[in-house]
Amino acid sequence: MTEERALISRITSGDTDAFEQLISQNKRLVAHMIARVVKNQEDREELCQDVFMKVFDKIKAFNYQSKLSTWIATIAYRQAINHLRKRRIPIEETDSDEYFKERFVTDDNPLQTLEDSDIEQKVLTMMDELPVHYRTIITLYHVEGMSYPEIGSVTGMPEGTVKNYLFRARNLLKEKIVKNLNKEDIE
Amino acid sequence: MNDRDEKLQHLAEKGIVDSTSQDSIAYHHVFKVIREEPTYVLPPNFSEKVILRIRQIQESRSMKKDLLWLSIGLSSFVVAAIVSIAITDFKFNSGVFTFFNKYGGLVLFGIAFVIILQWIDRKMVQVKNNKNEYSY
Repeated sequence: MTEERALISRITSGDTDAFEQLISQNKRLVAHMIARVVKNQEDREELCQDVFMKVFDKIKAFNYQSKLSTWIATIAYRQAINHLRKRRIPIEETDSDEYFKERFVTDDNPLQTLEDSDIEQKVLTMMDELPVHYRTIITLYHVEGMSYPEIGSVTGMPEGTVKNYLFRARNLLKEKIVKNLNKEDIE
Repeated sequence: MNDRDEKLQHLAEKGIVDSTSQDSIAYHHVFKVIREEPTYVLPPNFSEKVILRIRQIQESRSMKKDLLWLSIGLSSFVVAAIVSIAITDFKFNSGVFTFFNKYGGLVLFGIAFVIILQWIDRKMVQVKNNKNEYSY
């Protein structure tokens, strides 16, 4: 925390080297957040740049109530969601879960073989078909190692919703695998 | 949430697989994949690009600030001039420029002379100098 404070104070006094340090510490996190939400490869880098521009503009307002990385992830998440809204890309409703679940699991995309590596490759593809909020929560929890309250703070969702979405996302992926494994057994 | 699936998810998270249960095997695959980082990586010169954009924005902001001060200065000057004229009852007097009224022809000749001199310089003297430079 003291290191963070020192870094922020250097940035606010106009030290661009310090900001470069902040970028190299957090660019992986921002890239993951953006890549999970935005599918268009060309927009990703520009959005990541916009996130850091916003961080530079707003860093004086950072109040040390959370980790700096959590605060940056919040900006990245909002930037990504705003991008989808601007481009009128639908953000899948997660509340109508039963309908989505049915569509997602029965989607005609069978797993061709039972080879582990193939299944895993397919699961990666399936993950891209999950609703944005599910994908974001999975990344923050499993890749970035954030806690439920931290994810809640990034996404603005209550802790219970975060837990629920995480459970549902993993369950949907499992259901789809089982469905396809069963198909293989029948064939 | 379903208790059985919740339990299976907890076990899969710890890496425990029940090879007799299809659900457990499926969760094992799911947990293996969702822990993988997205493959997208930013280019190595990403930081420099961001810093460059920040500098450009700062320069443009500073220019806008300068223009704002310039316009404030000019407006203040105009306001001050109007107020001074109103207060002092100032009347414009061309003063020394009345001299030009008597010698209009001389002024016109002066302007025409300077223009012709410039034209001769461009067409003849500079062209000649350029030719000499290229002849080496």
